[in-house]
Formats: sequence, C-alpha cells, structure tokens
Amino acid sequence: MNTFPQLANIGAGSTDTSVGFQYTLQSPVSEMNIPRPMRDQEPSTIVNTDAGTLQMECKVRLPPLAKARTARQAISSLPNEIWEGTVQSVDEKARIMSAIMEPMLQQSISRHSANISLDYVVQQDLPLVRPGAVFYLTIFTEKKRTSIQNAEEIRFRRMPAWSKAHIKKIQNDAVVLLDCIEG
Amino acid sequence: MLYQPEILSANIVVLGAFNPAIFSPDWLELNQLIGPDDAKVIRSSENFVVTRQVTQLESETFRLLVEESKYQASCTGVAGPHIRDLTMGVLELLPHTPLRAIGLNFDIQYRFHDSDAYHKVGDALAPKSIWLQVVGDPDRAIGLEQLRIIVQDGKRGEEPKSPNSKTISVHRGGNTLTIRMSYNDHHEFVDLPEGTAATEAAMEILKEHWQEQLQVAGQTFSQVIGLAIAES
Repeated sequence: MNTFPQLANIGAGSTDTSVGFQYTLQSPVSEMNIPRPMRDQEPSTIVNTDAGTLQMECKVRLPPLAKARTARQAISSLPNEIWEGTVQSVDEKARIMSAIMEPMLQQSISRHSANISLDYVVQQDLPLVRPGAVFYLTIFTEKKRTSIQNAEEIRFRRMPAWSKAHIKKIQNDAVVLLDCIEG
Repeated sequence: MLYQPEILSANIVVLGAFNPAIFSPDWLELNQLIGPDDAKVIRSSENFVVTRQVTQLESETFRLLVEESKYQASCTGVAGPHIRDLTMGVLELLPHTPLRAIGLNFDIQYRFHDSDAYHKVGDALAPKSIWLQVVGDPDRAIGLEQLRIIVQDGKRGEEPKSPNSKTISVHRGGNTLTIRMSYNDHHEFVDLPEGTAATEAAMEILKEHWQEQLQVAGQTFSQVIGLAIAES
C-alpha cells in the first residue's frame, strides 16, 4: 500500500511552470489539467439495478470555464503603477491613514508619503488598517468595449494567522534569547 | 504611436504534491489569506469547484487552480502582487509540501496601430528569406505564429549550470494587429542547502524576486518590440 499516494506525482509529469497567455489562452487550463472522467460525468443520480442493489453514479459537472474567460476578454487592464504602501498612522476621527509609498514598477520614481481617506478602503480590509500594515495602491487603465477608464484600487496585504505552533516557537526562541542575555 | 501595451497579467505556478481539497474558501478565510467578502464572491462564483482532484476558486482579484501536482494562482483583474502574497501565505501554512519547481509568469499584449510596424516585429524575430525559398511561392503568406527563446546560465553547447531558466515567448494575436508576449522565470528545487525546505526556498524566491522579475519582464517586453521594429 502506498502510504503517500501524492508522492507518486513527484518527478512525474510536466516540468514546465509557464502557462502561456492568460486572457485568451489557446489551450485553456481547464482542458489541459482537469481529469477527463470528471468532465464527462453528469450530476449525481441513484440507479436501481436489476440485481436489486443500489448503484450510485457519481456525476460531477464542471463549471463553464471558457464562458467566464470569454466574458473577461471584453476587458483589458494595464497597471500604470503599483505602489506598495506602509501605514504609518491612522486618524480614526478624520478617517485618514498616513503612509509611505514605494513604487513597484518604475524604479525611477522616488518614494512618496500620502494621506489616504479610509473611504477608499474596502469594508473587508478596514480591520487590517493599522500602523505597519502593507497595502497596494494600483493605478491602472481599464479598457472596455465602449470606454477607457483610469482607475485605482487599494488592497491590503493578507498574511496567514499565527498558529499555536508559531506562537510556541516564538515563545521558545524568546526563552533561548533571554537565557543568552542573562548569561 | 505605432503600438501600445494593452494587457499585463501575472501568474504563479508551483509544481509539487498538493491536496486540492484543502484549498477551500473557508480554509483561506480562516487563515486570513482572503477576506470575508472575497470568500463570498468565490462561493457564489460559477467556477467554484473543490474536489480531491482539483480545486478552482475565482474572486474579483485572483483565480486559483490546484491539482494534485500543480498549483496556479493568476490575477483576474489588474496584475498585482496579491497573488505573490497569497502563494507565500499558502506555502507558509503548508510548509511540508514537497515542491519541484516554481514559475513566475508575466504576460503582455501589444496592440499595433500600424500594420507595417506589426509585420516588422515578426520579420525581425524570424526573417523570412529562408522560408520564402522553402515555400517557393511568392503568392503565399508566411508569418510568425509563435517563438520561444530559453535563456539558461552557461555557454552554448555546454551543460547548463543550473536547471533554472527564463523563457520568453512571442505569439501572434488573434485577427487584429496584436502581439502577445510571455515571460517565465523558472526555478527548480534541486541541491537545496541541508535543512532548507522547498517551501522555504519558494517563499524566498517570491519574496526576493517577484517584484524584480515583474520589472525585468516589463523591460524585456518593451525592449524586444522596440529592437525588432528598429532592426527591420
């Protein structure tokens, strides 16, 4: 018995980490990678067979990826600059955060400081707004079938929650450090 | 203006052994890698699939496709570093995942307003003199459909010094005057220092190289197009 069935995949299959152009992919990811038997199956049904036993046919219908991708093709977007901001302070009353902004695309642009209204931060990111938090301000041009818009988007960086093991390791490291300091 | 960039997209591919069923919106939300609104969008997406063999999630900003041997995070809207952060978060949460390679990918589409300039690119990258002789019929059109250049450390004819590589691909667009280019920065996890997990190495690559490669890709794309037009 293979205890680690996943390991069978290591060393097998493609070593290519490129995916080709994503917007109008010639060989869509769904067709490349999704196992055929699943795609060909229908929704679940239970069939009463002649032998008097119930036979379950597991049928899974995959979503129409190609349709979704075609819809997106109507829109193209090009970032003009992505700024990585680090929150320095937050004024809850004035609903403003002060941040240091570093350009990510063009090295020739210097570091800026900015006061940004919290009205530009989406609801789900508001709990993340605190000194030290990192966010991305993307200024981009979006092209639709009948219009071209310049737009901006703010998204806060999300990091994994600290696990118990993480916290325990930090506590252990702190004990070791303290021992070293105290000699 | 002869041409202008129209689309820039980014994606990250990691090869290894994954358990696709883990990658549910609930797991991502519980571990604070996505927000509650992202999770709602994913759950209501018509592309939402979580199975043991494949998981596919799509939010307003990213698309995640995880198979047993491949993880792929792509930008759905405007390209940005959120897929890097998402991938780093995933690798931090799954530190014992066996990995083989990681690829940082960037794609661009140029729209040409001048057909001469458009054809100059193909003619410079793949001169037609040989093909005209091979085809031998001046009434038949010969065009560049796809070109792939791989760059590795080491001299030509010698064994590459490293399995890592950079691949630049040029593709003809659809019916319109468009050229698409892809840039792949490929890293394999071989000969890692003792005690270094592949996930740590992958996170280091994402942390240290993603932004740099984004800039390099942008420079490469504009340089290739600019030089090709200037050369013809």
